[in-house]
Amino acid sequence: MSLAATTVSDPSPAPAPPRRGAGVRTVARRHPMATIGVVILVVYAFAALFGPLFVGDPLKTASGETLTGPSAEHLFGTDRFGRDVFTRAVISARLDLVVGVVIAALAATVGSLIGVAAGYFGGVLDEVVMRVTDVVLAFPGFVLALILVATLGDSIPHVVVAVAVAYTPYFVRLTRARALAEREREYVDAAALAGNRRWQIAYRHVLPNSLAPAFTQAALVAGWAVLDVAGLAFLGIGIQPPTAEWGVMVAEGANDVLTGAWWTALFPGALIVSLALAFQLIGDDLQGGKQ
Amino acid sequence: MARYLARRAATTAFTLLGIVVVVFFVVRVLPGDAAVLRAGPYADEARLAEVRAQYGLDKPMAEQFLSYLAGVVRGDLGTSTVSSGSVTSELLVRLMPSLELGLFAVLLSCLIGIPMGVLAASRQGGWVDRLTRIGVITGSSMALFWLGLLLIYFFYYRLGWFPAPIDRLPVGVSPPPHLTGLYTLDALLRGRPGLAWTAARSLMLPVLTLTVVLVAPVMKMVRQSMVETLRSDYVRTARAMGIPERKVLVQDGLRNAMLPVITAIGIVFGYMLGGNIIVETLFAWPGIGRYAYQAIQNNDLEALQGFVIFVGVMYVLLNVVIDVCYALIDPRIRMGAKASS
Amino acid sequence: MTLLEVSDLSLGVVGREELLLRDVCLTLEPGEVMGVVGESGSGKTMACLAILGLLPPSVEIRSGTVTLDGRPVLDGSSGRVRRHPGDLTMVFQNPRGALNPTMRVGKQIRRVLVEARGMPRAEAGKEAVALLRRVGIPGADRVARAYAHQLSGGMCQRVVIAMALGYRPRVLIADEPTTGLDVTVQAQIFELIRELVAETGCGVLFITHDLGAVAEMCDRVSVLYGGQLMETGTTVEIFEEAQHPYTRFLLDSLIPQSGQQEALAEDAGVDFSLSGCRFAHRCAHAFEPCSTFPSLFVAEGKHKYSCFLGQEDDVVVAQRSQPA
Repeated sequence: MSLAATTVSDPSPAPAPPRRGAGVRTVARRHPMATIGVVILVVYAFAALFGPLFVGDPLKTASGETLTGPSAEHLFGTDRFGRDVFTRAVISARLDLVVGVVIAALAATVGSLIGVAAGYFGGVLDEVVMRVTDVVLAFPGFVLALILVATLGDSIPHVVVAVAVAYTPYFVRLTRARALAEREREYVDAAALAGNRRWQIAYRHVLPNSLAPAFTQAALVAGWAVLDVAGLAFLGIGIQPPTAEWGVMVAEGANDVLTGAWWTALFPGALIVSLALAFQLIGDDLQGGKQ
Repeated sequence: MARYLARRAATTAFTLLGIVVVVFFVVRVLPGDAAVLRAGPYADEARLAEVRAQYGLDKPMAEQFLSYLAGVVRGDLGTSTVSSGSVTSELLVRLMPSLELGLFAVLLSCLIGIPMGVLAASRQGGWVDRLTRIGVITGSSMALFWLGLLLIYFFYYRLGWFPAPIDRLPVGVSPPPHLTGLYTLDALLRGRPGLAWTAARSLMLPVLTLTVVLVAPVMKMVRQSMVETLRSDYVRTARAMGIPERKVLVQDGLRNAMLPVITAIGIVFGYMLGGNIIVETLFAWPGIGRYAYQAIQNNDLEALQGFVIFVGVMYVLLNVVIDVCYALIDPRIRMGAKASS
Repeated sequence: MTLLEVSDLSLGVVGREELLLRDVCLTLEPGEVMGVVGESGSGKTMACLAILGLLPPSVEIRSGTVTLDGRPVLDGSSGRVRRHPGDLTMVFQNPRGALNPTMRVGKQIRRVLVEARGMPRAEAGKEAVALLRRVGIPGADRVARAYAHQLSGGMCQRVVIAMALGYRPRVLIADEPTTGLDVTVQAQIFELIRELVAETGCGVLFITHDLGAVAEMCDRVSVLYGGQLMETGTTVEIFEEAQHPYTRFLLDSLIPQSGQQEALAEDAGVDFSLSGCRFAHRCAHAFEPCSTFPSLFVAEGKHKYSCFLGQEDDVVVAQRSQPA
């Protein structure tokens, strides 16, 4: 759907290869946004791995200390059951981070496998795949995930599968388009001449070369997946209280905001947004590289 | 053009059928006894049998599907297990509030997003470009429910600039006499600008929440499209032939860049239809999104099913309209003739 | 008076030291067709874009001046190009891409007439159709209302030439105008350009890598390589008395029978950071002085070339600004 015909190619010579010894710091300077994203992710990964060791019990209630504001003792304050918001937030980091990554990986993997097959083999398979993705894409992603979880039942694996299903068609389309182009390249003919069977060509040769756009998209999808899972939890679907999950915490704290106890909902929400932001920054930078 | 429309109609019909199939089977075939899902976990055998009979769940699957499909085609989306009312009529009543919210949000996103995208593209690296990039990243990482709460906290609770997030009008204010169902428009049409303003004030926070998220894909798409277009050979030729820069931007740039943007607006509508559920729940807005939320809370699967089909059909039809617009505007598609080589 | 004079034009990529184009000089007389020859990457297109003020944002003018009819067009120090309607215009490769896909072609010609020549709209509309007829398009009325995708490549290029005709330039720059078009169409386009020159006395810079086209169309030739001017002279002088090793290399690669050019050998890549002659790394005759930038030496009259071969070490016949 390119509107521009051949364009004046930029004559700038390829950037000089980094000098030896220019490692992380040069990369960081060249990609400031992605670096911030990676730093945030590292912090969350840390919290996910080691956080639970340092904080207390996320379910412990204390009826004497309900809805106290942020303090030295309770960094994020306490909620209406007296639970420490910070503890719950840290515990949730593991859940949300893993869920986001797993959903993106699942959608990307399944989507790419299907997409490459459709693009490379063409024919009836391609038609069927295109019609099915049309139908899946006919629903706004969030709505589709919603009804899938509503009928499958509330549990974390169900949420993961449901949201992954909603994002899979993007990867199918992406890799299919790439595979269609790759199919015409010489290495495919070479592989055929070397005696490879069709499915071998598809999966050993065309697939690896069709994956590039999928990686970038996967980073973005991870961020959106976190938002979707939290959004579903906010609506009471999928992950339920008393599980400590950021979306659940926002739902529980929503009414508190109206009475001025902003910390119960706004802190967890900020964490959701910053995790999604981290993925966005990385994905945006990966995209910005190829203009 | 006629051939294009015919093909489009065929794929659309197929997609619409697919929607009904998917929703029907998702709800009935997936693990979980359909009767139990409807009757609730406390039902005994007798109650379950009643439910089965009531919803025709004891009939063979194919027959159930066909009768459901027949119903959908007639416009009957089933009966709510909670209210025993027609799902279709319940949705239609709530459609206009959702549209008022959604249309304002989409409109505002375009009003902000399109000029920003154009300016960002024509002066790449400038401050508008940087602002746009920040906007895109922010909007794409935004959680609607958090943003809404944030806005409620600051602008209602702390500053009191906006009315309480309950319903479309503050307590005690009656809506204008019905014309379109859009309170702002109806109030204006009935010569009551004060009421229109009141309605608008209740709209502002939810619309603002949605707009922050919706503006991101608009800006991104417009900028990308403009940049690509401005690099094209025909823009270069126009400049070489002495056409003044601002005319080049509009006649060669914008005119061609807008084509994919129209498609992007369709996608934005999709986000809106999904995001509506969260925003309406948060602001207690009486639209179809809130209806869906209540259906979930009440385990009203019929209603939820009807909602999903309703939204799916709306989305598909909207995309068809957009594709037709695209075809009308782009002479290459409108004429369909292949260039002689 | 010389129509177009380009002196010591140097271009570079913003933020980098290397020069994409180095001290390139060109002169064009009225009614003359000058071929600008070189491989891809030789800088021929960039030079012309610079003259027009249409460089991409990543490329800047480092030094040099351009005058048209004695008036300065390019100010080397500020890098600004001052253009007036009717001075220079350019016709590019890929004619269909050069036309706005959503605007009827007649309107595209009409707006050039309105903007560049100040013609009133109604008159411009009629003139646009007349121009289409002038470039040999049958059924000009119908074609004026057509869109670019409905026309063949050759027709599109004629439309662009009609636009250029309407613009009434003093200098027309044609960048590989016939690439991708049939040989017969090519001949017709060449004919059109020749007619344009005869009628208006404009000058033409004809950019190409096809020496056959040069032999057919051009009065004089300038040869570029690696952003450096290698040799310039009349067509006869270049083809029969080439002085520069690179020119001879180009001529040798012509297959005599078919007149076609052999695919040029893999270029190891021009090193833009070199301060000496940029062809040296591929030159069979490279020797010690080649590491400094060669001036433009005169062979005879206006036949100049930039190579130390055949020069006395201490004689520099044509003065030229040496790079600092």
